[in-house]
Amino acid sequence: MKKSSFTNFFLGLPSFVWLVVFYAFPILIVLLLAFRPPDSNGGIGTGWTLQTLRELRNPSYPAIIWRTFWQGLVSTAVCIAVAVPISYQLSRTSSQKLRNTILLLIIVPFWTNFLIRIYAWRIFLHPEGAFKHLLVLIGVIPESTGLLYNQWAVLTVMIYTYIPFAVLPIYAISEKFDFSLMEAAKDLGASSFYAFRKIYLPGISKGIWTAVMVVLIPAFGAYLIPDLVGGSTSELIGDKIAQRVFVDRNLPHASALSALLMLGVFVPLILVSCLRKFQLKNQKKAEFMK
Amino acid sequence: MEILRFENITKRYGQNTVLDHVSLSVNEGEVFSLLGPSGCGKTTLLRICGGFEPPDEGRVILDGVDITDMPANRRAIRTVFQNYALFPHMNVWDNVAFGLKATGISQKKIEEDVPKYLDLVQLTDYAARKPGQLSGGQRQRVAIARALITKPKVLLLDEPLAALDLKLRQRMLIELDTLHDDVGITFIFVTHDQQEAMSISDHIAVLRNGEIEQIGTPPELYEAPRTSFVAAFIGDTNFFEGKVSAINGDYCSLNIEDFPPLRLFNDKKVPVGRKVHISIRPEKFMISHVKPEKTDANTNLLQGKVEEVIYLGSHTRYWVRVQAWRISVIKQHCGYALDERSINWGDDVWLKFEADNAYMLDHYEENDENLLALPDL
Repeated sequence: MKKSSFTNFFLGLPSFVWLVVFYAFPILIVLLLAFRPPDSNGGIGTGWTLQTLRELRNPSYPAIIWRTFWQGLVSTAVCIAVAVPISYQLSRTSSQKLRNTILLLIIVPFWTNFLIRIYAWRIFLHPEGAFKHLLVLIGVIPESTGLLYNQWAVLTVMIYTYIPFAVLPIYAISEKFDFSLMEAAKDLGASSFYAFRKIYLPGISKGIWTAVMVVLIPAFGAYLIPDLVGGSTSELIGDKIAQRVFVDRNLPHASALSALLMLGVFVPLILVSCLRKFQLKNQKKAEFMK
Repeated sequence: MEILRFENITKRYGQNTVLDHVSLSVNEGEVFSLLGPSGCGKTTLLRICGGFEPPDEGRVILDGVDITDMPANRRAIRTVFQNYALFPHMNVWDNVAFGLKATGISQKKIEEDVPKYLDLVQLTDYAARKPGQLSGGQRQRVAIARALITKPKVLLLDEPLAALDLKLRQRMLIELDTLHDDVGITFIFVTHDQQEAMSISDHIAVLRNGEIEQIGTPPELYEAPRTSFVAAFIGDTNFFEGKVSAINGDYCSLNIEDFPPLRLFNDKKVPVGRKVHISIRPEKFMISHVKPEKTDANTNLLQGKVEEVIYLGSHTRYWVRVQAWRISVIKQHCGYALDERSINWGDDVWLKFEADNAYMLDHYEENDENLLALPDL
């Protein structure tokens, strides 16, 4: 026992060091910077202050925070709503060849640079673009409606970007799902939809949770997408942080915003995981009482 | 009274015909077995019955209603799957309650019924367990309770004992039988194990290559097999080929190579000169050292030499060489075996059997002899 825990310690050491050096330290630095004053050259001043934190009460921030929050939630929800049926169909496809082809089609966009893909969207949604002209021609939208530079463009491109991140973890779990359980549910009188809800969804819940993590966190921090396809009215926190770093050269303020974002991501995550633990405990207790 | 009927069910997968015009009828309240080797189509027939696969031709009639096109969830038929297919994220209680919840039964009725069915399968103390925390036998009982609680007209059991070890299998077989007596629902039991089928069924349909070989009660199949396949698949037997040489009323004389003319019951009314195949079960032969007395014309006697002896306590198996034939014989030890003069390897013996104890086959295939348990002599 002693020896194995000793070995485990050494085996785990490299990744532990990695995490400390490249994740814990930088986060700590960011958090500390939030309490330092900026200097006029775009560097860090001396001494400690709460001034940057007070500046977070900027009247334009609540709207931006709210937008970041709901856009993140909506894009995550849409990604999962799209990824679940795709994974369901994909894991029921008996032909291995067809399966691999579809998976490849989902992954192929990754081979193209992220920036290039966003620029492709800019061309696609451009006011003078073919898509816009087509929509106006068939009378879906009036000439005056812009497809680009608004929050809907941001949302669309965010969903487009994150769908594969949602599909892969859900498919990975769905592929191992025992579909004879769906047959058993129908055999017991359940409708297809009831079986899907009560048997399939709980069966792949692990994959859905992973998908929520891998979509929600980058969606909260997104800044390239709103920067390139959004307008002045569709800024997200990510944009503001970038602005404070590159334009204003105010690192402490950027750090304070980053800390706020991190809190905004981690607090709900910790709450959710506590809630799940609590639920499990309660369930066990209830089982015990029965 | 008939509860379920298959009419001319045909199912093909590509070029492969899995079921070929299968028709059969199941009576209300009985245990009906579909018996056959793997690949005979019995599981496909079950899946057609459950509504998981449509037949290419033919109809399924449940209680007078054509349910061929009815989706699985609307049929009053439930299945106990081979791997039980219990819902892993639900405990035993929720698994059993599932069928009621899915069909919108009130919570009050659910709380009333679930304990009853848990009690029926003796799992009351396990209500809070997840399927992963149960033994194979317990899982099977959950699967059965889960199906029965929805009060189906027919319960389908797909090789329900295959996943259990031998001891447990025998116990569950008795439990299933008791359960069937308790609930009185029609059971359709799919198995490849002839002993299972024989011990639990009221009727058995023997399937082979997608066709029904014979339907009958267990004694009918054993005593009056229609084909060499049924005779060899159910129990053990001896096949002989001969030619009818004379007819005396209900009986006939049969000439078998190397044998004296034998007298047989001619229930198939075979005319003189026709070649027939007969099946004689091993226990129909009386084996003895001394020549038995020929009590009447219907007694047949053969003389041979013992080639192999296998003592099995309640009975002994012998293989006796009679000219070119090797005959499997079983002797039940009704008396105290130590007091009897034992029959040993190499002994000259007499075999006796009555004319009524041989059975003429409608159809014979030489391949079926491979199903018999013959020692490599």
